[in-house]
Amino acid sequence: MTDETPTGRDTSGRFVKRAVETVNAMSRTNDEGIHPMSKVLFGWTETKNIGAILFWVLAGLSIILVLADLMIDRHEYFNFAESIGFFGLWGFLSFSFVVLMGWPLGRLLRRDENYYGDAGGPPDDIDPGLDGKPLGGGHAPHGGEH
Amino acid sequence: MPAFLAGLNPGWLLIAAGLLALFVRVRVVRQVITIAAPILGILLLSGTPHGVDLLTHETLSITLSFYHVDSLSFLFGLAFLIAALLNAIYALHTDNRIQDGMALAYAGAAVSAVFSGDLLTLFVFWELTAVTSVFLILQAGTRAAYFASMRYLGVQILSGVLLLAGIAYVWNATGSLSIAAFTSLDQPGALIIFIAFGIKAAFPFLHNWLQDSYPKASVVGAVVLSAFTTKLAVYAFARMFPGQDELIWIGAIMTVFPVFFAVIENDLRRVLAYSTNNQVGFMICAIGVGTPLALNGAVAHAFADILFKGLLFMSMGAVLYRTGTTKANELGGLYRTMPWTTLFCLIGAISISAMPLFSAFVTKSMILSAVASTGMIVVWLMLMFASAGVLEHSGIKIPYFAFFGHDSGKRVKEAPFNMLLAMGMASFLCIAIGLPAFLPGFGYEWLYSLLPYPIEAANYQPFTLSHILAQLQLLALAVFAFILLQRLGLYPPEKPGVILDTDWTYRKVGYGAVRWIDTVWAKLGLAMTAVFRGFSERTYDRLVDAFSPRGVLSRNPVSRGMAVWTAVILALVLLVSYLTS
Amino acid sequence: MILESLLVSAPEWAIDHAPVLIPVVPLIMAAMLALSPSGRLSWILSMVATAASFYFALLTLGRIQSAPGGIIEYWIGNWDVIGIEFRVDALNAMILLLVTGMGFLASIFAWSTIVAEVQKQKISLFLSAFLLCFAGLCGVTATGDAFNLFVFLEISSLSTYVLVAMGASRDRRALTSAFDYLIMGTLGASFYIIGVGFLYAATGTLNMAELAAQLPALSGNRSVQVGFAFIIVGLGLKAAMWPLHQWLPNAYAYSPSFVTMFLAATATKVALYAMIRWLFTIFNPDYAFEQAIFTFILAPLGIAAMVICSFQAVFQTDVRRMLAYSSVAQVGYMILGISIATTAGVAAGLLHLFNHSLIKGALFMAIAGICINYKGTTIRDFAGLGRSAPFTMAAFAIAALSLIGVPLTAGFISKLQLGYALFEHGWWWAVLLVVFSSFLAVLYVGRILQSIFFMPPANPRKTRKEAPLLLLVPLWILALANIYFGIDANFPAGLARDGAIAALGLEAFQ
Repeated sequence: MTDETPTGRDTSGRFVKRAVETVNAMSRTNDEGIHPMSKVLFGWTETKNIGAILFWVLAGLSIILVLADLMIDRHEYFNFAESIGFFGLWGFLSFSFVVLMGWPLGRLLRRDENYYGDAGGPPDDIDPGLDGKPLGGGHAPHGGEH
Repeated sequence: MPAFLAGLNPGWLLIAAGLLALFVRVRVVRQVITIAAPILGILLLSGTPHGVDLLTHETLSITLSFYHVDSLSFLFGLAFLIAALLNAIYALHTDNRIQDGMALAYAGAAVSAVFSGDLLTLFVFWELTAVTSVFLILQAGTRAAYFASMRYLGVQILSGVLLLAGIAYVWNATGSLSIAAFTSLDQPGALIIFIAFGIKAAFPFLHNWLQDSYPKASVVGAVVLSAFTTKLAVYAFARMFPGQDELIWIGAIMTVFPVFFAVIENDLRRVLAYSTNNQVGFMICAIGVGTPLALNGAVAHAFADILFKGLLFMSMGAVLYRTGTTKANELGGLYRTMPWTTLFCLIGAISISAMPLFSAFVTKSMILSAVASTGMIVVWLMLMFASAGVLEHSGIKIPYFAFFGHDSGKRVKEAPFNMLLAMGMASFLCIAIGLPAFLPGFGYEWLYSLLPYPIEAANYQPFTLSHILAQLQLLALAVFAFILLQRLGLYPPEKPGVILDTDWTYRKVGYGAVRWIDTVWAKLGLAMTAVFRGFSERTYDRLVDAFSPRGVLSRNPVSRGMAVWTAVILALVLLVSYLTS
Repeated sequence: MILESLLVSAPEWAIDHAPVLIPVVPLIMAAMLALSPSGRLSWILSMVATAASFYFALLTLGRIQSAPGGIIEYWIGNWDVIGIEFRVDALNAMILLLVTGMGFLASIFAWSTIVAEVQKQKISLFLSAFLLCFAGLCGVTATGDAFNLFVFLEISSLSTYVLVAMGASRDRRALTSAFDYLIMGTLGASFYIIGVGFLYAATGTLNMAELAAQLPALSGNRSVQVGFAFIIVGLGLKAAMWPLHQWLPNAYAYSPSFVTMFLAATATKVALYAMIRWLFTIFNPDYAFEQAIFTFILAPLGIAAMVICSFQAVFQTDVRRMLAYSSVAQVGYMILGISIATTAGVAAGLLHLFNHSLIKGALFMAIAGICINYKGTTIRDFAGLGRSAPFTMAAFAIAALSLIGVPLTAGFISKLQLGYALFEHGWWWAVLLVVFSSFLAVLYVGRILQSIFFMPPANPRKTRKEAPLLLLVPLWILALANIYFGIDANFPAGLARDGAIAALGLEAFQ
């Protein structure tokens, strides 16, 4: 880790100010960890009870979309697909099915990370600042020195 | 354009530039080469006439056509060249001659394969993509990557060898090396070629090379790999097997099964590899339908996929570059320090989920309409199911677990500027081709006008109220399901671990069998040699007893055994001549 | 084009006497070298001799190509039918070109490796033996007389035994392998001469053309069939046809590396040529017994060689032995092609013969280059050489890929042609075996290449040391030829096709 700032230090007010100050400052990574743009773009995700808010917003949106079906006459190749809220229902069921299948499938198919005997690790060309690893180049398994 | 340039295949230009880059030590010069070559290629391609054999060569009474552009191959070639350019920009922060050179040569090989006008040329570049791309995996430099690359190479070469065998069969049967479409799979040659293509397209049960190798490639390597190999196979299918009924079901299954693997997979680059399977499934299914609308959809979706899949791989590459991992359980909360990457990743995720105003919406809806028009209810429902699945693994899982979700406490730097630039350009294109045509010829209409059947494409309206409403309903309720399940605590947590897939058969069972055979061979081989030698020596000893009591040559084992064999062969030849005359 | 300009510029006598000059020049030079005081002088003279032979071979080829289907008949001393005839058509013109060309390239690099491997006072004699062998091989190829062929065969064989035995200064096992080779070679030659004796008894002539004219009337004759059997086995032994190949791995592994390269590129090829000559020109595949031998003896033996020797190659630890087994396997491909007995099949066999000569020539030449600077030829000894001698090893890698049959190399073209010929003949199962055997080639070649390029040097103190330039130049000529003929195969494929047409006695179609 290169950043020297202890995590969890709430410095949001200062950074918002800075971010507004110059575009340049916004596009450059700040030395102290938190990127100024993150507040602008995704600050809203830190709102209190964001989970509940999102839940109700989407519930409302879903209801509106299903109700819109009453007003808009959709044309589909299959008759059953023209029934009200068909796509919403199918999307909801499909999604839930996939996610819920994750439980049994995970138990069935997941193995220890070293199952095949080569758990691997990060590739050579990751950030050289990380773990003191050197950057790319010269790691070719064969002659890079013609 | 000057005449000598007109016959220059942009793929060859890229291959030559790639080989040159291998030997250029000065980083800046190499960077100029890697960026200039795709741009030049795009310029060359834009001025190339369609439907003409631009470069042919006759050898051994076979006419090879090296450069043949038509409306089908044009868009693939263009997409590959754009991808090559984006990849080059994405790789600017590195200084690795082999990676730069091979990435360019790999792109060039894919472009050349797309523009080849006969099967043999297609085969040559088909193999070249395999050979060049393996270096991108090797460049990761880890032990796991080394073994994965060897498995990858094995599978890819197998595909090439099958293709060659199929070509030989077809040539023998018809005397033609034309890349005209096959009408049926009854001919064994066509079937062999079908399987060869199928391996590269990662058909179900033949798919695992993809999940095995891409996530182990280097940061840049995985981005490069995501663009070419599978899409080349899609092109090959569209070229040679349009309307082949088998493809409909194969494609439908391909869209569905990766969804289940993706949901339990922990490595986010591996999730994207499954997502590649799933997207290619849509294209394969459309090619199977084979109507002009379906083929338009397949080609357009391939074009869009190269962009948004590349974008997603780029964003995961940026995460990997900065944090050293793409394991979902080790990530989370990165939006605080990597907001731009987060933004671009979200654009990619929304694009792949086919949100209206983003690219996949205008391309996938063609496929869905085409499938629906055939009346195949089950296939259509499978594709709709898979659309919700895409949203799950690529639309939500990737950005959520990497950038939001549980805060991992990692406070890394934002991705390097060149990575952001490449992602930004890809994001721009994802949005640009997804927008309605506010100006005629712009937005999706630009893409539609380049499709193989432009007239049918012009008649197709993606932005109808029906489409938009249906898609929004699907997406909104699926996202709602996500939030609901998350709140109920029913969403499976991300756990480290490997997920068994078909590679288990060769990495565990196969490997065990080979080791067993090796042991047996070591023992049996010795025994067999002993028996063999014993046999010839005994025979010889008897001959010596009969003819030469002193055994002059008996000190020498080699001539001993051989003398017997000479006699045996002579006897056989005499016997055969005696019996047949 | 080049050939035509050569023909135009050549003096009259050279064109007239070219066929006989090919073996005679090195023969005379060999005698002179035995008396030469200086090794270096001998080397230069041997180069001159092989270059002259190469030139005459080009002239001969030019003469034959200028008249399609042409045959040059050259009666030594104008004695006519009772004398010795040299008879060159498209088939042996190709082989002559190959042998003289490889001989010339070999003699160029000879100096650098001989100095390292042969005692100084023996260099002249060594080169003299080499020229004798070279002359013998050319003679076997050019002659039109069955007995004269035997004489030249013995000239080349006897000198080969000497050459192999010269490896003793490096590895004593060269002596036993030379002895083995001597026993087996003599056995083969004796079989051959016994066979010729049977035919002489039946026909009263030793001239090949005359034999060919008389044999159809005698095809039911038992002594003709017995003669045929002896000749095929005798030549099969010389050509290292499986399972008569067992002299070859040792001979290749322990002889001086120069000799290995020359033998691998030429000796078995010439024996195979003689076999084709006997099978197709003198005898005729229309004879029922010969057809049966193609199907029941040659094809199975060829396939057995392809598969079994490839397996054996996979498990070798010494690179030269591995390549030697690979050579036997490649002879299997050629015999398989020949055993189809169609124009396409024989042409594929000949093309593979040509390409294989380029491949093995390059491979063994690279190994010779390695032997100069590095000790040992086991796979482990080759570890890391990709870094120490990149140019030598890059050429090695090109030839090795060609050996596998990777597209854009010469080896690919000839395997492709062989595949087509087999398909055409309906032997698709044999195609599968060819593919399988190529897969085995991937394994054994892969082992070497992996060691060369992916392993760290066994001895880390090895510094960078390339083979001398005198070796690198002919080596790269061969390596580039492997690539060039993999892209534009018109020249060798044309030679092979004309050769096959000439062998089968068909009219050339142009």
